[in-house]
Amino acid sequence: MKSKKIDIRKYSLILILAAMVVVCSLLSGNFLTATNLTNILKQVSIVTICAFAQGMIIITGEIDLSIGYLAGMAGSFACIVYVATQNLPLAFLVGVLLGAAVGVVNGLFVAYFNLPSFIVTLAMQTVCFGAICLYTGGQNIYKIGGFNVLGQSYVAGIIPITVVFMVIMLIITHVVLKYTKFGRYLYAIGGNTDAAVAAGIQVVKVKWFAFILSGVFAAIAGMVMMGRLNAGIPGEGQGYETDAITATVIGGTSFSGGAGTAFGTFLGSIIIGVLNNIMNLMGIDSYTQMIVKGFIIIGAVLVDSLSKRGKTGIKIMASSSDAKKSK
Amino acid sequence: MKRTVVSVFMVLAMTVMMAAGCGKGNEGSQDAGSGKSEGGKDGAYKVAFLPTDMSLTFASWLADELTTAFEEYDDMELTVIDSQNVLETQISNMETCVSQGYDYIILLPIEPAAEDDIVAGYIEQGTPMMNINLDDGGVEKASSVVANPYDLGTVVAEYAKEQIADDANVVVLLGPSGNTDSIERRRAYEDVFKDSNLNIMEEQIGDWEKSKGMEFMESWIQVHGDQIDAVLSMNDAMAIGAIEAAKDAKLDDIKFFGVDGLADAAVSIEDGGLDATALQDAQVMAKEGARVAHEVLTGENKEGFEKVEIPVTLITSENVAEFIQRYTENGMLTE
Repeated sequence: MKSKKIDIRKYSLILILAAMVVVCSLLSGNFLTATNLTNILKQVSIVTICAFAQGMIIITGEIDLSIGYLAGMAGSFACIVYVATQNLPLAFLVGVLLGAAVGVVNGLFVAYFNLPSFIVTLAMQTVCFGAICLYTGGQNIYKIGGFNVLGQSYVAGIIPITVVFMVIMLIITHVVLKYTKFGRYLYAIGGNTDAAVAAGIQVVKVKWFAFILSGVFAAIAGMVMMGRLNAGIPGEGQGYETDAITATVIGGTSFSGGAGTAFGTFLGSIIIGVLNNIMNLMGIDSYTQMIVKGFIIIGAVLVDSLSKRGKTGIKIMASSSDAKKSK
Repeated sequence: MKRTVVSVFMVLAMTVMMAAGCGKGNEGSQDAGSGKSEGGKDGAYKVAFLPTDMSLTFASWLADELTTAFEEYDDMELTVIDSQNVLETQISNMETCVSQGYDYIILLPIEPAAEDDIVAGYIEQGTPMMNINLDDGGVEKASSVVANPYDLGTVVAEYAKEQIADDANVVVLLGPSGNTDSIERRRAYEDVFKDSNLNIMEEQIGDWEKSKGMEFMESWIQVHGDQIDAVLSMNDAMAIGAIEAAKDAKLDDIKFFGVDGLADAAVSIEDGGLDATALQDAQVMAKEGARVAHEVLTGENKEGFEKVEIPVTLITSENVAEFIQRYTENGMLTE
């Protein structure tokens, strides 16, 4: 029953994306070129990695608002370490550990002390941003030299490294969600926490680990971002958490938890990327872009929601909203 | 019940954030205090500096320079109170400073037009104030120490005019919608190029962000290929983002013009990326600011206010070495 519902969702997203590609290629002769499509992938890759993290958290019925600032902080600290040591693996490791550390703190309060994730992760935004600004005195980090291979190099001469990172994270997220016990527990907790507890799932541990994983993903996104920007700019991560939420929700992740896939998130992110890209190619002015983007996002979610309404959808939605109330 | 819990947490979270904000402010005051304490400052004038956002490069640089400038005066003590780019916070901070009996307030305004009436009100009630760096001229009796954003645009635009053809194809990157700096700099370009046949191919709001500048440029290169002759950006970060995009597309002949002249721009000019930028010099601004505040407080300035305009500096490959050295010395660049 569940797998059928997810299939319909996945196809509806592919259909929306296919329709967009057709329309876009008619609107602009520059759209359907190899370099432009590569550009789109490059531009969405960082948000998409954040969205994979956000998706896992939303599946459990929680939210992680610290992702953007955490990316900015971990990415910038990694730059600092790289500039000081010229050791890329070490810098990368420091970034990952910082991400994990913030995840540990998020998880401690959300999973262990059972505080609302909205508040905890909102507070962690300022902690992360404050920490990096305290260290740098509000200055950006320039001349990061070889660190830019994380964001500007090409694999096999043609595939941008950012896209490679995105694909690797896609595969990891997909495997985690679909083929591990941990992944299945995430759905179980998001679908109905009480039932998950009754089934003997260690909810605290699972949620805690989900936040650590989310932190690590965000840190990786941050390092890729700084590599692409060729500088350590703490403030650039700002807002990625909401873009990530948009991508996950368009991608069919249920906001009340219990449903969502890595591929859905990936498609959701690409849809936004295509939208931004075509409007820039057509030279549509900034204000109109904002309005169009807002309505298209609502439209995409509406189409998606209508397509799944029917036999299975309502029942599942009802049970997951029950779960939310009973929390 | 649940709602009560949530609201309690909201309040807690806000308290935490405010505490963090205050912490930042206190820290600034400690800095300023420790700088002053050697001089012995009993009965010194209490001066508050309210920057926009200490996480912004320029604001934090200006705060440092002001702290240094105030160390020259034995009878003035500077406290820095951050507003984290929230207008409401800055207005509350002004309120607090007035009620705490500060003798002088230096404001780096977030939205001058919105704050003018409040500033005028406090001056009326007896607390002299200064707008530093940004001023829309809305308060007659407020001191002002600014580098005119229009002049910043003009020096770069005039240099750009020499560097590019009369009928060049350009793309334009703007700051956030409604931002005074962006509007004035854009207006300066407009005026300088009004007799030329410049072709503006694209113009978009990049919100001052490097990543946005990069993203727009990637798309524009798709549409216009190697036809783009120059990028006119209202700040350096977006121009430098566009440079990254051009580098990736292996386009070497495009010229890039920014404004701000901070460390990132100096590095980029040195590396042959950015062609020119204009600097509003925080060091000069801070020295002038401290002087004006001192003269007003000691009564040397009878009128109670002074309007000062700081000259702007054009930075190109010819004089960039000087700035690299300066930014390395003051810690904005690490070698």
